[in-house]
Amino acid sequence: MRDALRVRMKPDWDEIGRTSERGLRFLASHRISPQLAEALYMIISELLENSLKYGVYATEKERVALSIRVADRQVIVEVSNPFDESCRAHLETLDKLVQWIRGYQDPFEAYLEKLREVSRRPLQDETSGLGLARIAYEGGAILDFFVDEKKLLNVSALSTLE
Amino acid sequence: MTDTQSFTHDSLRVEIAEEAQSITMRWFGKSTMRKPGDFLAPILADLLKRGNESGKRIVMDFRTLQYMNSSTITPVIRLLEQARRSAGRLSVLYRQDLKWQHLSFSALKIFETPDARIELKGAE
Repeated sequence: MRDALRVRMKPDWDEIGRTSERGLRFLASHRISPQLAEALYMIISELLENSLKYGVYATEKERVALSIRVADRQVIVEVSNPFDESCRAHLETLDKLVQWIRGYQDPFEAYLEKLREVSRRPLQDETSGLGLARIAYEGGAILDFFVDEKKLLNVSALSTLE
Repeated sequence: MTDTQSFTHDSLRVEIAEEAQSITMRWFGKSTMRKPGDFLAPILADLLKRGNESGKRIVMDFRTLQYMNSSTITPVIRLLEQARRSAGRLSVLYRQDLKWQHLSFSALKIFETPDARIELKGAE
């Protein structure tokens, strides 16, 4: 049984469902409970959606990279995408948001606060941060991110196996 | 007599059925659109208008929905907020035996009103 799945995805919205399903099949091979698999499917999909919303795909060859690792009673979902200086504002927002979520002892409270905030925002506002708050609350995952030496933005969610 | 309308976009289908006491919107499939508001906002605005004009309770039935992304939650909570601010009556039905539905929809109880004009009900 493989401990990790690595997929390179074309930055196309229609690929998200197929790639998330592939992640789900990998998780099923690790006999992860259906309930946790359901939560991980959501985590994979939300992170892939963010990578398409905020990534920079300058050439046809650029891809989103998804990695799922299962080890030591933990599942780590990591999504990376090309990134450049034009995304500086997004990086700052991401940093603030991750710190803000971590500041809550219970991610449910952070999620409720986001719901209240989003209910007052314009409908077309895509930068709500609701997806990350949902990952922390519904997915019970710890979020982290870094920019590597290849200028790839890596966002990860760590979930503990029940 | 029941008047039913059906709307489909990608893997999401919604059906709106007007009955004697209520107008029910049932959700089927998966909502994974990048901008679900483009599809849903006009449908939800019309639903709220019909509910307000007829005095009928709006029922949003998510029990047959398989998955929704966080972008889909935005138009739903905006409808709840608008209904809360108007005189509208609105019920949200979800499956509490499905963990994702229970987690997603029970959180929306913050939009409930004390008089149950806006209510969220978990069922099996």
